[in-house]
Amino acid sequence: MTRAVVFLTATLFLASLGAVAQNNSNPSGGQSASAQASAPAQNANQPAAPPPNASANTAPGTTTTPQSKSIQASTPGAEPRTISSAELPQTSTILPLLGLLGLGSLVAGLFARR
Amino acid sequence: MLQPDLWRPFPIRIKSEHVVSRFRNPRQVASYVLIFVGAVLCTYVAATYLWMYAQQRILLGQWSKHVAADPPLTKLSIPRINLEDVVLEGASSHSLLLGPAHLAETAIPGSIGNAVIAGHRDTFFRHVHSLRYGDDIYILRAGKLFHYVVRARKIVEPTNLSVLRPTKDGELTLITCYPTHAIGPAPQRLIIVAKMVSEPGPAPPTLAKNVSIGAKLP
Repeated sequence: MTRAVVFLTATLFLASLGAVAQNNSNPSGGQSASAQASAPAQNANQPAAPPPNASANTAPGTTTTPQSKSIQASTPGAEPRTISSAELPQTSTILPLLGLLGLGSLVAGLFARR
Repeated sequence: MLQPDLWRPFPIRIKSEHVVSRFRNPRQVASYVLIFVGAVLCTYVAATYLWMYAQQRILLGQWSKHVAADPPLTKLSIPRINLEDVVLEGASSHSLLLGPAHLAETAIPGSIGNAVIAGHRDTFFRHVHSLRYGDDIYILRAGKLFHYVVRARKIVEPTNLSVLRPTKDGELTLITCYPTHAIGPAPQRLIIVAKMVSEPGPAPPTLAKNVSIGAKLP
């Protein structure tokens, strides 16, 4: 019983460490989810063309800071702007792989114990 | 008077020998290590998914309270795949963990231009691959409803940035990884291109209160 409790505690502790490490790796410096979600309005003066209706969220006339490996794209009637990334965003996580490895490890460990 | 046999610590010696012999067996040690590692990994993955879900629920709650607030939150809704999530700004790895993320260099969703939203294929955008020509996509922002219709679906290399180019009309581009059901790094990207089909109108009151979108829209 004691060993089970110790094992569970250690497992939870390590998993929490992983979660904390992931949270701290946030490049936005610990910005909360709500702050990130509300950020579009702060970027509203990015050079997007105004919406069809009068309630424009945008104010054309500014450009983003040019960075290395950026592409210049322009539209007739719109200010040129830069897209500052060399690749499309990485939209896959290693979580499914980790989960699969974890399950495999658990099953292998249980078999080895028998 | 105590007999020597009575106070000799037999049980303790037997137990310690038993433990030592157990850990001398490499197979037993390996099994413990495997179980421990497996439990840590499974707990970490489950906790991360739960954390994502909880954060997105919090955002949805905030969205329903701040529909007409400044700065406005953006909500992406795709009835066909039952997707209804708040969009985060900036496609950093952290933002993408919490929900679909708008690429900051592109037009704002709901405005003229190409608004690009990316999402993880194994969480929020896991059913995006099933979108077909003519499917509806809705953007709710600042109390207004923007209606898009899927017009194209393509698979590109990650280095193909042409999908981010601005357009003259209202366009929404969804990006996720491809192959959809693969595990591990994705070599390609699935692109869904949708066009704005109508002038933005006020969101129905039911939508403004964070009610399910699919049943209420025309």
